Amino acid sequence: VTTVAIIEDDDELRELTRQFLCAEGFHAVGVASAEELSEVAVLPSLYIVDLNLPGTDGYTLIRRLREVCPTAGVVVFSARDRTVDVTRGYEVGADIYLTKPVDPTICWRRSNAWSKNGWARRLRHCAAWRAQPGGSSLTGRCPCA
Amino acid sequence: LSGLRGLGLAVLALCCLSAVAGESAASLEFVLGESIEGQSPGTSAAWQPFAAGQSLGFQDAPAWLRLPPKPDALGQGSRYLLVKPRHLGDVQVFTMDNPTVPLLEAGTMRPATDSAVGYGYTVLLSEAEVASGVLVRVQSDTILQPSVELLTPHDLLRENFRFNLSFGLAFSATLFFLFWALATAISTPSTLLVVWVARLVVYLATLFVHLGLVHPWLDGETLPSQATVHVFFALGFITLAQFFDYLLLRELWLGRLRWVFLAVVSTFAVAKPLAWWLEGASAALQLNNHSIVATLLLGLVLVPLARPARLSAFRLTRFGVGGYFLIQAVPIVALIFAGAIYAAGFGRILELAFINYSIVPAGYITFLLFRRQRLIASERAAYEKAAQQRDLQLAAEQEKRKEVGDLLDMLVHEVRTPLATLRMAAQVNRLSPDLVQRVITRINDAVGQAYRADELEQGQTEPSAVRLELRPLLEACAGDQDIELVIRGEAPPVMANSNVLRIVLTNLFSNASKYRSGNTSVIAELGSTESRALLVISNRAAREVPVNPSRLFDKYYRGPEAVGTRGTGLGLYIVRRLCEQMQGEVSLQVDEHWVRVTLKLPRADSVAQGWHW
Repeated sequence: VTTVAIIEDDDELRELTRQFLCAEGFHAVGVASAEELSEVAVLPSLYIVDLNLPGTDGYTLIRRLREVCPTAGVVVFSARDRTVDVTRGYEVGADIYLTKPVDPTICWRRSNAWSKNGWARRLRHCAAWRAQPGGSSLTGRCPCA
Repeated sequence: LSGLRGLGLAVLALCCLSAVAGESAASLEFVLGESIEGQSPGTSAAWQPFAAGQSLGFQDAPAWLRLPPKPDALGQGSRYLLVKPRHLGDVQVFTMDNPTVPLLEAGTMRPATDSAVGYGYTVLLSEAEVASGVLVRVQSDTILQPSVELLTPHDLLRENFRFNLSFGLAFSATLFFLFWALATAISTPSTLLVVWVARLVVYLATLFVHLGLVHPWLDGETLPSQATVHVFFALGFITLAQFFDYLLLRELWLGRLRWVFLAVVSTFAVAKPLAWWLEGASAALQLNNHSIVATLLLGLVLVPLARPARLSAFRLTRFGVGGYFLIQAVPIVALIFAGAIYAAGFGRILELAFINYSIVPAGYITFLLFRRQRLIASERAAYEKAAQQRDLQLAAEQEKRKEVGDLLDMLVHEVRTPLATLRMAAQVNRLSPDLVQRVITRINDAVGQAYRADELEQGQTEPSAVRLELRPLLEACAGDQDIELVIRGEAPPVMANSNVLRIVLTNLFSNASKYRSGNTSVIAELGSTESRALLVISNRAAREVPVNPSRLFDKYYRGPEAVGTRGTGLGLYIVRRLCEQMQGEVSLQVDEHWVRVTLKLPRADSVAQGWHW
């Protein structure tokens, strides 16, 4: 089961999204801020991130996620749909950018599609990590594992 | 230009008067012609009176000057015979007793000789030589205007002093103009300035050559002779000055007429070397003098026909350029008059013209350039000031756009997020009237806050303040927010607008309600100082969070403490701005788990009657 973390400061929307994704077969957890994400027990493989977060904003959160989880999926849920916002979202590492109010069906289809390809993507990344110059001498696990 | 004409005529008259009023030297006589073969010029019957400094024009033949015998000179000591000017080609001095053995042989066509002065040639005569009479033979390619004087050593010192003074003045003034022009030409290069610098440099060189200061090095063998160099610089300086005059005229709007001036100057520039080559130095120098008169008069004719050039970098006016031509032309015209009548002051006028042709126009041009530089400096300062203002306007405009962008971001977020909630709720069958009402309220609140912030930005405020009791207002606002309020202490009435104060309190209670722990009570403590009423609103925080009080009152700021709560980030900003309008203050402190907002408002009893804010 794919674990999805929903980082959304609006309690109602977060809870409704969580319920919707759980109903669709995901294991979804919701947190209200980037700071609370570290409290999630299971490492999610898909993140749904609101950009307008109090404290650490969504862009910074995505950048950090990309550093520690290079193969994790990142879906942006944002009210902003200016070109500059969307471009910046993809630049910092988002895989999918959805504008609120998001059609739940679209949200589910995108998450599902990403989930199906997630393991293959992770295996490819780990193979590439080991194949890099000096990779055979590297010990430990691929950062995405 | 009529004033200019009057001034020109006055100066012309003055110069002519000065020329004809020159001292006469009745004792000096002259005769033109080669040494009369077989007979002494001292016995020639053709002697004519000669005034010191009188012009004899351009002469191919030499001139003989005679100082008659002075028997009374015996017993009065030796005398210096001074022959001027320095640029005479050949100078020979004889005693009348022995007119075949010269006492002095000098001139630009001969090697340099020792002289007691720099501007002429001297020879020390004994009492007997003076008493016997003196003959001076002079010959020159240049205009012949010899001056022969017998001076005591004291007189010679005085002459030297006068010379050093005028030379020092010319040299230092030209050097000053040169450095100034050089600095200006480097900072703001232009053809006019470069030619101006060249003209000043050539003038200095001409001055040195004219006064024979470089004569010792000009031996006529390895280097050209003094006479050749003198002619070269005389022609070169005048030609360069005339090209400079053309560039000056170009600053005015002359149309095709300026080509006439350029054609005349160019023709002379070609003709003078040709004349020197074909006819000799005398012809070239005569042509040089004619070119001076021709170009100056042509300039004076053309200037009144010009229109002011609007795009001229130097902003020269017709008056300025006309004045420049006039102050050069007037002494020349005076010279023509004086030369025509062989006036005694010819030499003096010529010296004046030489200095005038360079120093006075130089000073005038320097003044014009200085004025132009000052104009440029003031214009530059004005442009820089305008640019700064534009930068400020641009920065303000960008700030304004950013404000609008931030406002739009907030509104979009506060509208689309509830809509997303509605859509998601519909998908999972959790749509309820309560949820719809909350969404409507949230959107409405966001729009209301945006309007309130916009009013504050535009300076729209409630017009007047009245005496208000805080306690009833606190109770009413707390009731609207559905919170339990505990009021402690008493505060005197405040001077405020009830609508504004209601907005402030509503925002504060709304915050307290959102961030309080559970359903704990909100505490309002009342107090006062000498001039202020104090109100401290406290609530127990739901959780311990880092708070940055300095940023909490910023527009759209939502810190970590806002996690899990809705808001526009405008509430405390509006509170701060409204408190400032009421001459009040607001601050926020976090003490362990307690958040305290302190309001200080003006007491009604300390505010003068009729005061409005």
